[in-house]
Amino acid sequence: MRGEPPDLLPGTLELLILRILARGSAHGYGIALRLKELSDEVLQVGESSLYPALQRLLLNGYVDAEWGASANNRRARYYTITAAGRKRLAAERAAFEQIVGAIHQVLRTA
Amino acid sequence: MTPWLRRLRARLRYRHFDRELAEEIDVHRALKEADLRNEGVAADEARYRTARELGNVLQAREAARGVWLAPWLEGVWQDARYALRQARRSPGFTLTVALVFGLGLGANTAIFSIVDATHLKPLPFREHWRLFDIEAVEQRGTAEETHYSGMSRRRLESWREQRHIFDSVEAYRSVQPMKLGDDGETALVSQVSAGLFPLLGNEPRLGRHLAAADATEAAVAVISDGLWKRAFGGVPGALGKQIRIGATLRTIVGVMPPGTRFPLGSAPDAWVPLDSVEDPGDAASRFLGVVARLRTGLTPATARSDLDNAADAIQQDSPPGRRWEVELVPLDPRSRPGAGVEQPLVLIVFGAMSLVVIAACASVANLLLSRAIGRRRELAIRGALGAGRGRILRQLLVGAGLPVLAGAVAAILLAAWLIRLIPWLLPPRTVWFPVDEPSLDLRVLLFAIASSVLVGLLSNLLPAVRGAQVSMPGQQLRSGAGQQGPGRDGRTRRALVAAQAALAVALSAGAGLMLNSFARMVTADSGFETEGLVGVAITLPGNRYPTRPAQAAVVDDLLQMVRSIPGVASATTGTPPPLNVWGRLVREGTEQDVAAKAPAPTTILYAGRTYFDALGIPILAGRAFSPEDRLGGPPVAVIDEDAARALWPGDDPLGKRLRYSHLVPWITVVGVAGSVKTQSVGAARDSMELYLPEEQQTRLQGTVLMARSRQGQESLLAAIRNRIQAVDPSVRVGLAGLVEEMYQPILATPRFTALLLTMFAALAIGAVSIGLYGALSYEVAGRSGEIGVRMALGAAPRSVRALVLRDAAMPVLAGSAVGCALAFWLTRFIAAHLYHVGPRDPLTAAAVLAVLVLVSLAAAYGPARRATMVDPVVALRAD
Repeated sequence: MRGEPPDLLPGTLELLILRILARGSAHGYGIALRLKELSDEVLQVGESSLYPALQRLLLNGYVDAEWGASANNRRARYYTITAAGRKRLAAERAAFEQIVGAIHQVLRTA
Repeated sequence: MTPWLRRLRARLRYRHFDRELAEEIDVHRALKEADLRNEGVAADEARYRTARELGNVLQAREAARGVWLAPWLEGVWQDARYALRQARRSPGFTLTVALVFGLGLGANTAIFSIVDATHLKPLPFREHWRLFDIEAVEQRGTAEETHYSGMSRRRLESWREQRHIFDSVEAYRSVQPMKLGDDGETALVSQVSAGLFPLLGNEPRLGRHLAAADATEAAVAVISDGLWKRAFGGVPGALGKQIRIGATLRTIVGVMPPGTRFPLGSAPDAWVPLDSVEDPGDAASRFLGVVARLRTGLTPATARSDLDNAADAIQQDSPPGRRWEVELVPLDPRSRPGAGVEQPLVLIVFGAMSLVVIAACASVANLLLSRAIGRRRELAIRGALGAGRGRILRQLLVGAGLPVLAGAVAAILLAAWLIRLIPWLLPPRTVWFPVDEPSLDLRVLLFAIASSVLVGLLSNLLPAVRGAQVSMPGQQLRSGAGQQGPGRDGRTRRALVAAQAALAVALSAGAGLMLNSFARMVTADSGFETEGLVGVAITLPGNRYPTRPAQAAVVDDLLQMVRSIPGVASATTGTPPPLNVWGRLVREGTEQDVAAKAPAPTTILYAGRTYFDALGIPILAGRAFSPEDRLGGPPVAVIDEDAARALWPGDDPLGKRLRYSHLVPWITVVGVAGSVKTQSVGAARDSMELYLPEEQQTRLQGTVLMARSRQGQESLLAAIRNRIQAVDPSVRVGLAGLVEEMYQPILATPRFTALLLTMFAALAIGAVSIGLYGALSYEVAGRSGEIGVRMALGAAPRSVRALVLRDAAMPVLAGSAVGCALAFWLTRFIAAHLYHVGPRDPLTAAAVLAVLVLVSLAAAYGPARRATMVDPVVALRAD
């Protein structure tokens, strides 16, 4: 049973989802489309792997979900980032950039 | 919503969430498909691409579920549901296991509650380890002694002054029965000093303690919870009401909480101030007990030496000619050296029950193993589908856990019922448990749960591990894999059946012996003629009969009056065997002669002149007491045959000397009497007896008039009472009734324990038998394939049945043989409690074996017959 692809740092998917939702609410398919735009490799294991990540975000209170009408008049679930989510995004982003910076540093100077 | 609430909601409604997620993903798929089609992709292609790009939806859903509910927890829940379905499909199996465990564990828990009540529960007093009885033995003059330990009130103050030893010292008197109110209900009343309950740390639930002033001022009483509910309906308004106890009208000032037991070993209905009772009652209740609380930080050893010094100091003040011995004895009777001869029996029963539980485990393990083998194919398929060993193991454990749980619940219910039953088995007013009744309290409940868990593990581990060993799936998936037969598993199962049979035999043997013993006990010979013998205890008021001759004279008069009652065949005075005091015999010899001491305490009985005749106690050697044995003459005694054997083995005791305390002079033995039961009619070994002439007692403040007549008991007692009234109304009458019935509280012990043992043994046998039956049926049923083959090859049904029965009987017989050997070895532990029944009673053994073999044959026969009746073709196909 594999989770995210090995080269992705754990938690990155959630970070990206938060970033996407920071721009505006979306449903699962919409988030997938956006992610596809930004990077094809992220969802190598399938778009449905978004959903566990979304559930984790939901459970921790970083996003809210609401059922609403979608394009083809079927009901879909729309996710909105919360204030806590924004804070988390900022914190995670800072941490992530710190790690990436360190890696860059090592790669440059080692 | 807080994160915790959200999480909780997710856990509780995870299936609902799962459905929502499924819908959500479906919408995702629909949208994606629509988009692709709009881009011009063909419908088929769109669907295919969507599916591929969506990825493993099931895995995603599982991952999401893992977010809400830990996967292992969900797995366990799943296993539990499966187990429930299985249980519903084969209720017989679940029922058998539940029954076996329920019986075994339930009985074990009930026994544990008794062990708890008698051995483990601490006394319900504040810091009970600091509470001691002060026992003082005083000698006055040269020949007399109070050989039951006691103290006088004057002494009490001297002890109270020893502040460096004791925090507080209080006194009490034993309970005495007194008439309650006007309707004649008898209540047990104990006199206590004011500070007694504060010393013990027992607070009243209503009202207040007795106060120091109460003894002189008002007539008050503190009543028990039981009396409060019985007489006043448990209303708070009972405080301040009056109640007539004996001859005094008393005001109720307090109510004690339920379960207040003091003096230990009795359950008084009321406590009144010390010596505020006009009727001092008989000798036993004049005994003044003293309980003291040791000063904090003082060890008993230091206290004892301090006590000796203090005793010496106090003795300086007492009149010459009086000698003292003081002892500090722990209040808890279980802490005393040589405590309780009967108690080990309870422990033995506990040990036996634990064996039963183990037998039950073997039973259930066998059943589960059989079932696991029968499910081999199913388990192999699971393994082939990807379940790991651990997962299968868990499933088997959870699956088996359900019947065990059912069994545990049944066990607790059975235990609760049994525990409630126990007081019903005891005669009323018996306080057999010194501290508290056995009850299903926290400790007992924890024991039940812990033993259930242990038992569950013990019986499930082996079958589960064996079942999970799907090492060669190919082999297991073949047909016929579910059949029982030879091989390692067959051997294990046979061994288990043999083990059960062995334990069943051993336990049945024990139970059979106890039953036998019990039957004999009930028709036991007490050593003297109890038929129609009544006793009436009298007490002479001290002020009217101050001198010994006066006391002797009035007793003689009373005896004459009783003899003159028409129909009375014989009458005497003295101590009836069931009521007695104790001493330790030492024969005359060198100081260092250790063997001179009798091995066990001896009961001391006072005998009037015609005692042995009237009671029908045979004199085996020497003589009974005669008029020569009077006060002031050489001290004489009659001993019973047990004492003669113990002190002078192989020698003639007549003319030799002994004494029961080093404070009295040597006494000459003039006669040997037949043994008489004084403690319990049913004990295999009773105590030894020493008879002293009543004439030679220096004080005769009370005695028991005993008479036998052809009349009925009631009329005889009434006649005796009338005669006593006629001679002197101030003579007080205490205990009155059949001498035989004076045993009752003492007899309760062996009777009770025998009854208890038998009951539990029966339960044990039941549990093991059911298990055996189940195991054998299962095994035979699992051989249906083999039977089909045999019959298809032409074997006659009869011969097949014979084969099956023989195979089933083999392990049972082997086990029974081992069981017999085990029984012979184990029964020596209960030999001490058997009454006239040898531990190797052949009758019992034979009966037990017969029962067991019958049970086994019955167990095997049914399925064997059924199997041979089935069409061989069907049997062959069934797997």
